[in-house]
Amino acid sequence: MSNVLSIKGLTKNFGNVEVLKGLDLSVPEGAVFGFIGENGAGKTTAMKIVLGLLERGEGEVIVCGEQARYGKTAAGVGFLPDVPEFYPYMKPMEYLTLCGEISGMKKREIKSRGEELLKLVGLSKAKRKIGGFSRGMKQRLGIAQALLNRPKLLICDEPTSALDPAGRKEILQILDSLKEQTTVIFSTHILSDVERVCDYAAFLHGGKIVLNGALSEIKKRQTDSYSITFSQSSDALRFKAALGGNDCRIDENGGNSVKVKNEDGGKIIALLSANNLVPLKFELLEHNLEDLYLKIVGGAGKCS
Amino acid sequence: MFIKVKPCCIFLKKELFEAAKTFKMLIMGIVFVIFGMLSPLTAKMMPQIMQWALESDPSSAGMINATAIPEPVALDSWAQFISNITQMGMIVLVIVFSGMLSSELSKGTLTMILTKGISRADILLSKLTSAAIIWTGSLSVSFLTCLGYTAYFFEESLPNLLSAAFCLWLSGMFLLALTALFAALTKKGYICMILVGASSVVLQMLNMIPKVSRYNPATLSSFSLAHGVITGETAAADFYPTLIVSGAFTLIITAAAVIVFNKRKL
Repeated sequence: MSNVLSIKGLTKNFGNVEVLKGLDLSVPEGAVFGFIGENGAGKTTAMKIVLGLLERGEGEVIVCGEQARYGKTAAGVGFLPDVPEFYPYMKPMEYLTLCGEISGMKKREIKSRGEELLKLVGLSKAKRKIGGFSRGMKQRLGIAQALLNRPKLLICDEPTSALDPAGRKEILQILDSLKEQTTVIFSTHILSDVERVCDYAAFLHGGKIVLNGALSEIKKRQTDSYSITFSQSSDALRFKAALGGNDCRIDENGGNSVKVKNEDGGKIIALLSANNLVPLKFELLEHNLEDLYLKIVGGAGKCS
Repeated sequence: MFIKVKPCCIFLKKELFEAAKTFKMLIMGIVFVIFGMLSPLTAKMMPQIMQWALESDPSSAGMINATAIPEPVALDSWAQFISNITQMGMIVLVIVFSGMLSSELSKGTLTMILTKGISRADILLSKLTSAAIIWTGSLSVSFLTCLGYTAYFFEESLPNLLSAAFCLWLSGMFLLALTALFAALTKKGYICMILVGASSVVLQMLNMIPKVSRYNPATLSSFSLAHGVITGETAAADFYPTLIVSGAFTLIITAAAVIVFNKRKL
C-alpha cells in the first residue's frame, strides 16, 4: 500500500518554542488515520504545514505525491477545520459553488457533486442561509466542502471537539462512511472517537511521533499486562508469592486470578513452570487507547 | 466550451456579491449620491442660509443690508463637492473598507478557501479591486449627480471637471492601497483605520514643506489642487508629478500589502 502522506524530520519553531522536533509520519492510502496528541502537542501546526498554510522549518513533506509548498495546498487534499466558518449570507449550494469554481471544477460537475454531498451530510433540504446553521450543521457542510473535488486525502482537524454527543455521532458516522472513497487524517484528543472510526493511529508527544501504526497492532505492541487464572485460589497465592516484588494483584472476584503488569510473558510462563503451576487461562490484556495515551503523556520514553 | 475563470476573478465576484449583501455597496452609493446632491443644493442655498443666520442673530441687526452676499455660481457647487469628497468622502471610504481582511481573518473564513487553490495574493488583490470598483462607482455616481444638479441650478458648465475628478479618484485609490497594507499588518479593523488616519495626517503635515507637496500623494486630496484644476489656476505641469508619484506609490504600497499578507500567520 502506497503512502498518501509522508513526513520526514519535520521541524517547526514559533520564536524560541520548538513545536515540532523532527516529526516522522506515514499515512497509507485508504486509511482512516487518527492523529492523537494532547492540546498544544503540535497536531494543528503539522496539519497546516501539510496544507501549505504554514511555513515549515526543516524536513520533507510529501503529500499526494508532491512536495508540500507554503502558500499552495497540494491538489487532491481536502480540509475540515475544527470550527469551520462560512460566509453567513450564502446558502450551502452557493458556498459549494464558490469552492468548486476556485478549485477549477466545471459548473455542471459542481452542481451534481454539490447535491450529492449535501445529501450525504444531510443538508439537501437546508435551503436557508448558512448564518442560521447550528454548529453541527456547519461541521457537516464543512465535510461537504472538503470532499467537493474528490480529494485523495481528507484532513480533519479535531472535527468533533466542538460538538455535542449527537453532533459527534453524526460526524463520526459520515467519516466512517468515507472509508471507501478517500484517505482520512483525523486529529483529536477524544480517544473514543479514534477507537470508533480509525484503523491507524499515531501519537504525537513532545514534538515527535512516539507511537505509530495500525490501531490493533499498537494495542498489542504496547501490551505488558497479563491475567493468569488458576483453578484454586491457593495456586493464585503461590504464584503471587513466586512473583515477589512484581506489580501484580489477586483479582477480587473469586480470588483465583492474578493480574501482572509490566512483565515479560516468557518470564511469567517460565515462573509458572518452575513452580509447577498449571493455569486454567493465560490471557494477554490489551491496553485501551486511554491507557496508552496516559502512559505516553506521563512518559514518552517508555512507549518507544 | 467551458471557460476556466481564474480564482482571482471568482473571488472578486464573491467580494462584490458580499459588498451587495452586507450593504457596503448601498451605503457607499447612498452617501456619495447625497454628497453629489447636497453640494449644488448647499451652494445654491448658501446666500439664503447666511441671510437666515444673520436675521436670527440679534447682534448682527443692521448688518443685513450692509452685507453683500454674492450670487452663487457653478464653481461654488464644485468647491462644495470637492470639500465633501476630500473630507467626509475619504473618511467614509476608509471606515467601510478598513475591515477588508480583519473580519475574514478573525472569523477564519479564509482558511478553507485557501486550501482550494487560491493564493493569498489573489485574495488581497480581489478585495482591493472590489473596493476600487465600489469607490469608482460611488465617485462616478456622485460626480454625475453633482454635474446634473449643478447644470440644473446654475446653467453654466466648467472645464477640467474630469481632471479634478481623476485627482480625487486617484487620491481614493491611494487611500485604499494604504488601507490594504494596514489591513494585512493588523488584526483589528479599527487599528487599521487609526493607522490610515495617522498616515494621512503625517502626509498632510509633510505638505508644509513646499518642495515635498509637489510629490506628496496627500496633495491630491487637498481642496486647493482640485479647485485649482477646475479654475485653471493649476496648470497640468504642476500636478502631473503628484499624479505620477501617487500612482507609483499606490502600486508600491499594494505590492507591499501582498508581501505582508503572504507572510502573515493565519
